[in-house]
Amino acid sequence: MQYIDLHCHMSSRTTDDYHMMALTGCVAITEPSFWAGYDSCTPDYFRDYFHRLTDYEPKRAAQYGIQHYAWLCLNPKEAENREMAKAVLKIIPEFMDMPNILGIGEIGLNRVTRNELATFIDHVELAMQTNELIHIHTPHLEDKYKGTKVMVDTLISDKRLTPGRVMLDHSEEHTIEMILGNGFWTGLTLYPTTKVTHGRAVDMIERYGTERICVASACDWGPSHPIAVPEFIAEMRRRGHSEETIRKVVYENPAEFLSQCPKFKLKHTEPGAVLRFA
Amino acid sequence: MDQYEKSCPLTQKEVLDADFMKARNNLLEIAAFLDRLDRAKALDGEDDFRLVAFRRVLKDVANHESDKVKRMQMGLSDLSIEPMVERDVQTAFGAVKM
Ligand SMILES: [Zn+2]
Repeated sequence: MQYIDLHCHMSSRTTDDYHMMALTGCVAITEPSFWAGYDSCTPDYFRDYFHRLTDYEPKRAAQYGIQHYAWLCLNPKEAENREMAKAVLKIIPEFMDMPNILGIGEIGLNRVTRNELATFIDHVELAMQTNELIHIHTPHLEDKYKGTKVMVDTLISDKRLTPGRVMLDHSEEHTIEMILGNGFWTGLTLYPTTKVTHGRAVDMIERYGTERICVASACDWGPSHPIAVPEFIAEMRRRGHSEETIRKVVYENPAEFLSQCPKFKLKHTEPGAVLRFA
Repeated sequence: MDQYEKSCPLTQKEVLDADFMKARNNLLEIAAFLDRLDRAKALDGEDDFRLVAFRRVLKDVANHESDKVKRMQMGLSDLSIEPMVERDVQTAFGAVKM
């Protein structure tokens, strides 16, 4: 089955991973702006990084028939540094018109601090100026509930914003209802130890249905799994879910959310897929 | 939107056949972790916020009420809504530091 992995940090992965993803049915990925694993020393780093996301990575992915799209921002892991945030927010517009850029992301909160929230709001403002799609990272572990609540409250109080154009990613059992209930899209992240397993992701699909839900590997430089989506497909089949239901989650849903940006166009359509475009 | 009862398409027997061994192993891993803490050469973590939270939410596994994962998630979450004044550490701990 063809699938779209909506959250992959391919800059941290090897070319072998692209190969493996292509062999398991991956046709498109989106790469949100990430954190290098250490705080950057200079805003110039981001110009290089955005160049990589808009030029080198799409070419590397294309060698394996995978369409590569990306999102730009200063990642929440570095959002505490307001000076850096202000400098990076000035660089982002230089790259927004690149053909593979779908919007602003992954913005969000990390430890849920005042500065992180200010940087989050600055990015939402930037996105609003040109009506961009927004991809949001919700914090990990004990900070997830608080961070998700603070961001949902901030976003719904902004009447300019359409929740259907915003993805609040990395939802779990205690945050999925407040995200979907307010009209946002969400992602279940198939990442070992700190996020959800394939089994728990399927449990959530069974409980909350398939509307506005996607799954992704969020593979990066940490222990993670670039072919987590096909593993999820296998688990869905093992539980007895239909091919139509699986295809909706791994292919039609991400296509529907991403197609709200006119730059997102799938080169080939999975046979039998029903694509609803906004 | 949320449907709890009968939302899993498998029967209980099918779930047991498929997942019992893995769950049994996970349970033994938790018991071994707790034994290891008991056997530690210094008992200096008894009031560590992570262990206190772990022991508290462990009770949710054993009781018969439904929606155990969500209950455990909430038991391990920071339920305040006021943003932190300044970032303390880069990475979360998995339980709320008191
Ligand atoms: Zn990410």
